[in-house]
Amino acid sequence: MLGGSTLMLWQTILNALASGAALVLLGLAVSYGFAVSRFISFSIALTYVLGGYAAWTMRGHPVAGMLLAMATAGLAGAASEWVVFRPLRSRGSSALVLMLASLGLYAFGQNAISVFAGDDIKSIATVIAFVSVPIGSGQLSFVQVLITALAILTAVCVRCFEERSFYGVQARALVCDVGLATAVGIPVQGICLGMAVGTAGLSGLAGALAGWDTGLTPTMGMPAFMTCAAAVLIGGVGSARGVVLGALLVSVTQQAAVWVLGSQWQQAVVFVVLFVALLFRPRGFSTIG
Amino acid sequence: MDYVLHIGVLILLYATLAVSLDLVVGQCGMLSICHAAFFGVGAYVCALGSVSTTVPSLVLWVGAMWMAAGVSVLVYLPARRLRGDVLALCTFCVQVVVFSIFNNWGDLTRGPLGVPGIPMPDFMRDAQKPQLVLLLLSILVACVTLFVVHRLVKSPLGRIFRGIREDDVFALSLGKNPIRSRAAAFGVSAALAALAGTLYAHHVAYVDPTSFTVTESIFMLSMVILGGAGSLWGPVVGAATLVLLPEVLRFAGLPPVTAANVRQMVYGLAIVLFMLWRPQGLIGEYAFGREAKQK
Amino acid sequence: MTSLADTRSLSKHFNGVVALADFSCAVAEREILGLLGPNGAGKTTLFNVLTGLLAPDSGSADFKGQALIGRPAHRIANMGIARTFQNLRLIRRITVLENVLLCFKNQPGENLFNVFFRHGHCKRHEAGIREKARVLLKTAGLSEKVDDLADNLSYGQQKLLSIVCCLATDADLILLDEPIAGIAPEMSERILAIIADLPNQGKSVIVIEHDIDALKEIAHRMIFMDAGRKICEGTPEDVLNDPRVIEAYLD
Repeated sequence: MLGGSTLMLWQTILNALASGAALVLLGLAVSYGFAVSRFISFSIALTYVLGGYAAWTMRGHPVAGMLLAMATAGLAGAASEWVVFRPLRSRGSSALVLMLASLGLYAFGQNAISVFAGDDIKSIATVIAFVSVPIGSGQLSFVQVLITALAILTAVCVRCFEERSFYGVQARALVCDVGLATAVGIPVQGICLGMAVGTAGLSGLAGALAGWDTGLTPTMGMPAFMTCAAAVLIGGVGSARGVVLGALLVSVTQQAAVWVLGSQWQQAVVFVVLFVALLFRPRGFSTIG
Repeated sequence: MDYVLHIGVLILLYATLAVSLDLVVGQCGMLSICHAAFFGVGAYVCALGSVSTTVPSLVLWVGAMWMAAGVSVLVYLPARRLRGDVLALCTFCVQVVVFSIFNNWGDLTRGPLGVPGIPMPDFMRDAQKPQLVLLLLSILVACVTLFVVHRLVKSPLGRIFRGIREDDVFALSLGKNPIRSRAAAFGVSAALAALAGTLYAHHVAYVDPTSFTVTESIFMLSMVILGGAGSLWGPVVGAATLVLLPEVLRFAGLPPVTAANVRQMVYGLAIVLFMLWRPQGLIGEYAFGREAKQK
Repeated sequence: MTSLADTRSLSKHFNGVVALADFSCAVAEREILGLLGPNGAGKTTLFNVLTGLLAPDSGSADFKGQALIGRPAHRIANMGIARTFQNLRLIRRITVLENVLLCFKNQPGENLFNVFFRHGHCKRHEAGIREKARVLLKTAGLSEKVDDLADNLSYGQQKLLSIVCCLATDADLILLDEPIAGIAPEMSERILAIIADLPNQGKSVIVIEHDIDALKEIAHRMIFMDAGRKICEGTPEDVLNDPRVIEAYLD
């Protein structure tokens, strides 16, 4: 009897880790997106879904699919930055206007995907995705293990990047506080564009992997994005460590919510958590060291 | 004829929703993405009350308005020190949580199944042409909303709204209380949305959670943006345009499912284009602080 | 003369930078107190502490015998203190008249209940303050600009407007932060004349200014501050001839 519930606990822990890892992957994109652009942008929700559907077009070829996902999403991110956000920023638009524009973009893009691909759940995984990988006395699917591994890898890479590279430091410190940054000689436009591409590409990869894990629907971007926003705002914007901490916390809260209240309340719980997190981080985007 | 009546009622209800939303968005400069939640509170209170109890309709309506106002102030107060996009995200959270309650608290709201069989208001159950009476009621409600918002905007309280929309610190230095003022705007706005919700419940006779989603809130927001924030008639223009648009699309022969998506593509695109080129909308006055605010 | 407002040992620092250090002063009724000192001396910080926008680390401040520290900013304003800001705060997207109307206190129409249920009362009050606002604007020489957006005024006119706004609040103590900085001599004269007349209307003023010649014309007393400290205090002649002040300005 005791053995049974320990098994369940271990499996729950594994599940929490796996879903936390998925959060980390997208969360890194969201976190750096927020930190650099200094407004809450819904465009990552869109590039996430775009990446997933791009991978779907190459559903027999996982690696090619993932690369296409990153490329498509990155391109979309660059286009949004170039066509929408940069002009708005250069006119001195407030964070509110930028956020509204990103919301409009998201609505446009998500529905475009619905029109072209339909609202049904698309599965893009090949059989290998569902192979069980035993871990201790529990198990995760191959996809979940892959996500976890990639999340760890990406988090480590980002951490090195933010500590060591000059580009990373510039980006974190002053970007998009345009006047000051330009005065100091930082190539603001270039960095904003670069980060837009990078964060979008990463989100596209996350979307493709999510497609592998649970299938694709056009509306999957928003819940994933908001859950990551919660994780990022709790853990602290602009740092890899913050993302990991926040993701773990949110993931555990989600599992606890499922256990106590039932899975239909999962989303509501995350949003309550996000609401509370926003109350305690009123500025939202003070970049953390 | 029924179809025309239906469109008429929809335009009036959405005009009510847009004008009340503009009180918060255009007059106070606060982005609210939870207006559909208050609309839903009104609809559900009316629906459940009409179906399960014998409480008079007018009492239900007033009760719904008070409840929505109460909820709005209750969620605003913890978030009172937040601004701009962060506050907007909070309202987003409120919207989702309220939707979740509609959808998942089956014992109270009957969950995804919704509440069918909502009768007409009790004072008009013997009416010969109930749909026509409902249209007249909608006109009345829309007029009341326009009157309330107009009176507020022209009042010294409205002046405070326009002040805190731009500079909280200046308002504080004059002895004004920005938090109390914003709470008042939020409360009145929510109450009016709930009133529209009660009429909506009577009109469509069946209420379910899918009418009160984030998408609906964004839809209402796009009406305000398109028509023009910060003006009295701007949101009305926006509402009429965006309600009539899908009808136009329907006549263009699009299948219903695709039409819904294309409609939302248009709303989304409209928001982006207006933010880029004309944030104050067609006839609006407030450009969402497009100029960088003084800190 | 009883003191209208006084501070005792106010101290404030930001991350190691001292803004106020054991600063004490008092302003009497119907008095103009000039505050001078180099940039960063803590003058604006003092204003922010007095008006409740900033909490000091220690010390106390009183106005009409009531404590200021710890009170919310809007309540302090309602006690009878008004101020202008160094970076000129106004509501630019509304008219000059509306800016002034915003400043009147205790308007019944600012209360939600009154807006709908005591409409006549609100209307009468509104008519009254409109009249007063026009008179104030006329006295200041801004009559032609009454219906213009505040944004469309020249910088000097905007500064003048912000002083009219202070008058509309009917405050007993007015804090002016560099009221004539960056504006033409003709407008400066107008503004200085208005300030000089304020004690005759029963008001006290604390003025921060860098223009010493202008300040000594209107101030009854002066305080020289540096690095958050009060260096010396007294009549304009005393302060301006004080060796420490002369040294500071020669540096």
